[in-house]
Amino acid sequence: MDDCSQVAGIISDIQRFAVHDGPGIRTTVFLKGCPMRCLWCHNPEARSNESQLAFYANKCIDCGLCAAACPNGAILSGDRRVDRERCCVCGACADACPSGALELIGRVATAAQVLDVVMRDLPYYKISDGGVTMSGGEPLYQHSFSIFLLRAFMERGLHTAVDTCGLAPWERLAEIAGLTNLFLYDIKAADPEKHARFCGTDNAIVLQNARRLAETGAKIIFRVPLIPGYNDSAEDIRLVGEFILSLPGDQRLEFVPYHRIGKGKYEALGLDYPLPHIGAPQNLDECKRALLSAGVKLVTG
Amino acid sequence: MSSSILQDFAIFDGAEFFREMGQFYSAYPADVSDVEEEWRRRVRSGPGLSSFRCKALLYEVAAERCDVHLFRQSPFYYEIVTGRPRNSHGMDGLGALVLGLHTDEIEHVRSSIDCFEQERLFSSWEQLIDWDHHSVGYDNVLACGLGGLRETASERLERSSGETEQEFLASVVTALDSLMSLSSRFADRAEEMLDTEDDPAVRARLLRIAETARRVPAEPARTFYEALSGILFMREACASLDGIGVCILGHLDRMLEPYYRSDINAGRLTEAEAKSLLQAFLAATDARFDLSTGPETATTVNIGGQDRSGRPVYNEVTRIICEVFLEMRLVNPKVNARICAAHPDEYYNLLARAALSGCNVLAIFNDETIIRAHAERGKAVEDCRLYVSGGCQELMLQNTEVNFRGCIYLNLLKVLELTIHPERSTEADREHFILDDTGPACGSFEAFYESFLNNLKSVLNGVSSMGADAGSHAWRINPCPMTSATVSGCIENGRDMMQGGAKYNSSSISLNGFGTLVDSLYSIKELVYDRRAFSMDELKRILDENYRGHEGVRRRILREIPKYGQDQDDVNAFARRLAADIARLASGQDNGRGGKFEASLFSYGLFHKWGEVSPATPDGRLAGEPLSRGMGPSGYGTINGVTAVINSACSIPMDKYPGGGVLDISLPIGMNKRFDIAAALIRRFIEGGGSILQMNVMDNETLKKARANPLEYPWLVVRVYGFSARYVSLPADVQDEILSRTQSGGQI
Repeated sequence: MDDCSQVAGIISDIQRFAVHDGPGIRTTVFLKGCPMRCLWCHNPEARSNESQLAFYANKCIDCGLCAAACPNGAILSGDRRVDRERCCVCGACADACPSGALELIGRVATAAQVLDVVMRDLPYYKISDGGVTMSGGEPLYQHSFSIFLLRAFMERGLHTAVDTCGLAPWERLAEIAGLTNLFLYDIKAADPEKHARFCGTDNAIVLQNARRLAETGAKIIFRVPLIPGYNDSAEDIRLVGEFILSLPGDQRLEFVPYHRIGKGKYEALGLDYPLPHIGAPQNLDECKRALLSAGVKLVTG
Repeated sequence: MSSSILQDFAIFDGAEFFREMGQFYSAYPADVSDVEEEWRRRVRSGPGLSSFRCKALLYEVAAERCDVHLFRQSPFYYEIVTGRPRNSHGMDGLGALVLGLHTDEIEHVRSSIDCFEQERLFSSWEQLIDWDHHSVGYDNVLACGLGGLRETASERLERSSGETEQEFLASVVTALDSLMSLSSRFADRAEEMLDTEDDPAVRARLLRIAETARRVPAEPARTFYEALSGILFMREACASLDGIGVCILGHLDRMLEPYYRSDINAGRLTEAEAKSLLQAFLAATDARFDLSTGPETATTVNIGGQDRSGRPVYNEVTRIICEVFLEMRLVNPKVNARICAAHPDEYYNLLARAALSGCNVLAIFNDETIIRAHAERGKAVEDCRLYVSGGCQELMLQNTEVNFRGCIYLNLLKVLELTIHPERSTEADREHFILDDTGPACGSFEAFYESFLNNLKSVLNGVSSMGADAGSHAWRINPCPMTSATVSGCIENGRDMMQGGAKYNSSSISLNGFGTLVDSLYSIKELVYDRRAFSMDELKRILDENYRGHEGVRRRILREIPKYGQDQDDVNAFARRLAADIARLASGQDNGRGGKFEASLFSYGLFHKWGEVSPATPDGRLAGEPLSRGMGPSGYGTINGVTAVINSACSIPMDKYPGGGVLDISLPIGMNKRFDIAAALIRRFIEGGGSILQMNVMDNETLKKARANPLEYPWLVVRVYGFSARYVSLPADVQDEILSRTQSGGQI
């Protein structure tokens, strides 16, 4: 067990009672660091693999302790609060902040610390056929930490799921596949040009990895974010469906409709929200019908 | 009887049923002054009659003179017109007349506790005597019939000695005669109505009543219909004539299953007919009460659980009852579902479905924990297995136990306040309790904790002794020979149920603010003693100032001191220790009726009421904010989600709490199809040793919309405290309080 307290990674959060990241009641571990930059990312705090400073204006009580604690004079007044140029992300202000308005996101956690939290809900996993999900960010980004954790979960008899964008060297994915009961594999767009435009990189590796993963017989749920005006045209949906149908094995897909929950996090991190105001998709049923009639199997329930 | 008549008889027309009842009850309360006058005349005729004689006279007058009303749309006979108002489950009308003869005694008790209520130490609705939360011994009635009980009572009367015993037993005989006479009068009424009734369905019902009401409940029930008729008749008669709240319709599926099976096997009944009968039976509560005013009906049914021999109960009747609730979306009676690890997954899934339906009338009771808790108090396990619960979750053993379970409520945070601020004790406090004033000067947390426990012990002993004193007079103030006749022990012992005549007689003081107390004590341990962040004097000053100018300190306390509910080992261990100590101190005192006090952790609405007037607490709670509810955590305790909350609650030794402990959790409405998830939460709660679980399904957005557009959300039912009501019919401040429960993260 010594190893568990030696091996560490950087995580943004551990969420208990997660019920949308695989079967049953789960705990989801969010690892920091992601190679993609999707415009609609709702976990912007997990993209960088370094710590980030967040400021939540609605929690601030204007006590001034942050300014006194900051070694770089990077505390401003007003809603932005942090001079991002001068801030060295040392976390002194967050330590001093009593109300949680300033928060250092991304903490080094040992495998033992992660396991401590994850194992608390063991009875729920057993009763509900749930388990643990690695998400992020991109779990493959900190692949050696992820592999260590997944092995530890498996040794403890937990069902493991990995939520991935698929952008990683195949060898990493292959290694993880042996320790993963279920992949939640994102396909942001089947069209390479759109993928490059919206996600900062084309999808050649993503699609190739998906195919190779499917060939191993791994259990996969493909997840398609549905972003109105970006990847939800009839042609977009048709191409995604075609890709899924071209894969070996019995593949299933589910849509993840766009929501603006991430917007507040952008503000807190001092980042601009990259999307103009768009609402939730209105064409979810239509997209489902189109895929179903093309013969694609959808995840139900 | 031909099958076509049977079918006619069992037709249930919900719309007509509610229309007819609504119309009838809208004229309530009925004028019964002539009956009352006649009773007063007879009471005056004998000088200085005992309460037993006065009650017996009331039964006689009621049996002679009260109107008995039959509803054309109901196959049952139970409405005795006694002046009991529409929104009353007992304790009003003619039944309360004997109680009304003792207003001086009641006022005396009332005035002696007023000062404690003012300082928020403890509270009592019913003069320290629980006139509410009672049940009929249904199994005894169904098995022996009232005639059988009468025979036992008159034999016992012949062997009786002493005036009180004789008067009690004589009044039992009168009560049983009056009940049988009332039942026969329903048969007469049915025959009268048949003279002019043309509707074939109504005629079929009246014919059935005419032939049944002379026999049941005078004789043992033989069929499913007779059993239901007997239960409803007895519940309504005792609630109307004994001046007590008879809230409990009984452990229905266990009682009914043998009748159901034999009727089905004999071809006397179909599943559809059974369902129609259960619809009329269960809908009677919603139809009586005016739901538009958000009343508490206090009425419950129990399902599931075990039979006397410990076999799990889950059968066709269980399924039909749940079906009726889900289809009719009844608000009452509340369904108190008993479950244990041995029950099949199907039952767990059924309860999960009911919990997620948004009906919000379901509470889940852990059989193993509750039965063990009662058995450990020296009650026979066969009796413990037949426990029921109501008006909210007050536990009692059906047929054998009479409790004062829901009338005295103690504010744990006030005891902590007196430990931190001994100077705030009043003269009355010092007169009734021996308070330990060493708290502020204690040099270690262990010493401080000891000081708190000393105070809690003294207050609990003082309050239970006041409760015992009042309880010892209960039988003189309002004896209940009618209900007593049905409860095992009363006839045998020759004593009323209010006099400790039942086989078991228990009491509870409900302890409020457990979660806030755990967090407050833990804050003191961490801040004052372990970290030495400030002295006790500084803490007192900060609390006195309601954290004004110390908002930073408050936020740190909220965020950095672990809370009960967050599933943190040290706090769980502390909560476990505290709960064990509290259970020990809240148990074992004599209750003045031949029984003992037992521990319980539920709060009704007092967590809200007391919170409003309580000063700041060391856990970061501001003055005026609610205390934690039942045995649940405070708001900050819920931030790790529902699995953490259930784990924390399961660290408490609830088998030391025969009065139960209620954990409320809220699930987002968005989960309304995830039966697997809800079933898993229930199973974990049961296997983890929890006591009572209430799951509410609601989300913040829906409640806000309902708040703004009440006309569009008449269907939205929420769990208020121990009762459910339509959200839009609740008072504004209660609506707000419920809304606030969904605001910390939206999940819980």
